[in-house]
Amino acid sequence: MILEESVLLVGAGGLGCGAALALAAAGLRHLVVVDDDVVEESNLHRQVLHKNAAVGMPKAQSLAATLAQRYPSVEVTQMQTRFDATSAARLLQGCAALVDASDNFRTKFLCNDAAVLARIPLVHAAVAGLRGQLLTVAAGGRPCYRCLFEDLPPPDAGVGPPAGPLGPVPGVLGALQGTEAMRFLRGAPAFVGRLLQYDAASLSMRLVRLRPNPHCAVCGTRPTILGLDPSAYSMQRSSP
Amino acid sequence: MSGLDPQAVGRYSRQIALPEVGSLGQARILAARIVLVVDGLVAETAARYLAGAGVCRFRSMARGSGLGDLAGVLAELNPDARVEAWPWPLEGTAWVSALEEQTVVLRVGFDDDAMVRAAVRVAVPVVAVRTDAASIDVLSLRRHGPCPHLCLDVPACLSNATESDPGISVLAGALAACEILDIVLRQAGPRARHLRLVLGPGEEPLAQDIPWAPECCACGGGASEARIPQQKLHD
Repeated sequence: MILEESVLLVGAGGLGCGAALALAAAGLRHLVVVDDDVVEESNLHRQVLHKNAAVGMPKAQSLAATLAQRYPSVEVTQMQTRFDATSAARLLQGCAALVDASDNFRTKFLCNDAAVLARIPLVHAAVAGLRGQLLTVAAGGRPCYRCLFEDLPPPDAGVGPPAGPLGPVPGVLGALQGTEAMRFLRGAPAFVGRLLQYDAASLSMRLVRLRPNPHCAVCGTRPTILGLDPSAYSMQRSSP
Repeated sequence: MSGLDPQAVGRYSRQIALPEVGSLGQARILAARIVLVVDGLVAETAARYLAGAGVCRFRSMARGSGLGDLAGVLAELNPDARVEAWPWPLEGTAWVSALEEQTVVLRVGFDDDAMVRAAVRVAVPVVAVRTDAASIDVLSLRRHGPCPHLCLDVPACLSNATESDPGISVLAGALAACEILDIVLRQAGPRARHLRLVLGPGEEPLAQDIPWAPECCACGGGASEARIPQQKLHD
């Protein structure tokens, strides 16, 4: 079944490639891909829409080209820019869902806040090593990503030599994102308010139900985040 | 980084840095031989991710039209990837020749006793995948059984393949690739695992070990033809 709505895909890396494949295969007609990075050799083991010859090419461009080759019916708009507080609202215009395929906390919180404020559904995912997680946030949240994680971590959180993930793991989570986004657009999401956790080492998945946090800064009963302030998404900002 | 050339070290550096992989694990991935039984989007997606991760040798037993496309797609991802065509379907002992010296078999749909028996006989693990419009079953059968022949009512749920949502097929392919790599990396002994994911509100994933049935005629105590000498358990 072809869907005419547009989906905004933030990130054209491991999660983004998996999501794009699933979205295109499932019949999405319009995909907007946002990424300001270029393809590196160390990306290739997991970012399967970037060909070996694409090293050095902008990721958004590379993903769009490969996807068009495999699924010519998909119209891909590539935005070689960063999804940030100044560009988020503009990029979200006209999109029916946001797929957060980013690889950093700053962008994940921004995606959540932007989607909740714009009342657009969000499908979040994250991977590390052989594990990953996924959460669907309904329009307006309740619950949302901040209900669970509240705020950006300290600036030095997660710092260290990059390792992983195992190649197909972001493919699993990305494909889940794409599938879930399509199911949302068709009115039947599976993971709203439920955190799905995947462990490739044990071939297992489990679901954790989330409750809305009444004190959530963006979707709580008295929200304090009413707009996207660029300074609020800086990793140099110290935690409150 | 013993056994890996500098180009491979650079390309697979993030994967090698994982404690579950390391240079030895990456070498195993590079040396793996994967059989894809039946073409389609599940097999294509799994092959993309496996080639990306470093698998270079594929044996494709397809219905015909997909092979050329797959070889080209994989070569663009991984210039060292090669796809060898084998006829399908096979009968009886021809499966033994097809599966000998292969590392893992990916089977889409599961209604093939002859393939199961051959896989058990030559001690090749099988990852079987079934999808429909809203669910996925992944069955991982490590060497020497358990197998789905009698061990559980898995054939009933795996063989009834119906038309799948293509997005779900992509997901299933990625899941299969993860499990295949885990088998390649661990080279572990017998284990069987079943993951069932139903994409619907309120549905819980099912992940379970499959017990071995001693009476199984393919891998159990009565399967004298299928039993493998003990020394091959650790090859």
